[in-house]
Amino acid sequence: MGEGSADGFFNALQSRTLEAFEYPFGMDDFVLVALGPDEHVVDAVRPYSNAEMVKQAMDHEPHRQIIVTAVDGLDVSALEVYRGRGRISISSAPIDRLLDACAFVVTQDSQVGLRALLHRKHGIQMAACGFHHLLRNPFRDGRIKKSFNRVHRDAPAFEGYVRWLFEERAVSDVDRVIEMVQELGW
Amino acid sequence: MRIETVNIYFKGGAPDVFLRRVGGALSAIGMQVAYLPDDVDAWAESVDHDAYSIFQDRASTHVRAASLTRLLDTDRWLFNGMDDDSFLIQRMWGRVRRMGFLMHCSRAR
Repeated sequence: MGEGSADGFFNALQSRTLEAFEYPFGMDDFVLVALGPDEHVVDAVRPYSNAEMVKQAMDHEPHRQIIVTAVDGLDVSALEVYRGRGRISISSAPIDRLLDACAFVVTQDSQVGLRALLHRKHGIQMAACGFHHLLRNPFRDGRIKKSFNRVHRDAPAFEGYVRWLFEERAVSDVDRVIEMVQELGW
Repeated sequence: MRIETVNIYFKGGAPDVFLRRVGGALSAIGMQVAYLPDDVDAWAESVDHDAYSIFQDRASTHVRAASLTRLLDTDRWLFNGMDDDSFLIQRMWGRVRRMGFLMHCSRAR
């Protein structure tokens, strides 16, 4: 563990990484559904299609606005199928603006999940992917209703997790990668 | 057991100088390195479900893989070998489009 507080590390990383905004997004307390390319559904790995993810957010958050956005190369025009469906809005705003303003995020994209943590925002990771430790996950929770319930009640240790991930788990040195390869027995 | 071939799966951007250095260092200790870039266009083929099972078979018998995942836009990378993170296995085997490209690489060798 490096020196200094987790708060200090977190704040420094946040200020280096996230884009600053000069004015508020203009809306908050919404559920952000960040959709990537609609790949094949694979049980226990990626069990939800994009349409199913949106439906789950609608079903489990009946009193909140749902904002759907496109990430990981998905064209925002692909979201037009959701336009006009009750509480759903479509946004092409930068992901950092949306994460900053939302109540929590629902996604299958690992990088979006990680970015959410830097905004001190909780979320539901709907697929088996990286940076899964802190987010709610229907695989671990056993049922998706529990994930939506717990995302409101949890108090994630954002600062401690981010420092653990970036300082203890990650590397920036080639020699360390080679050491890890050899430790794995290759 | 020593594995002589390692596929490195890059996530979070095209390989840069750091990743090339990793590949060079692995080569220096006797490994054959295949770069699997995180490029959607490169995975556009073989998106059928057959590719999924075929690649699983090939991967389980022929290929050892690792990934370097960039943490946002920082200089920090998360290194995972297949044996130490079950989520990596699921991620690599679960995304059919990516597996199409992996299988293509296997055939190319």
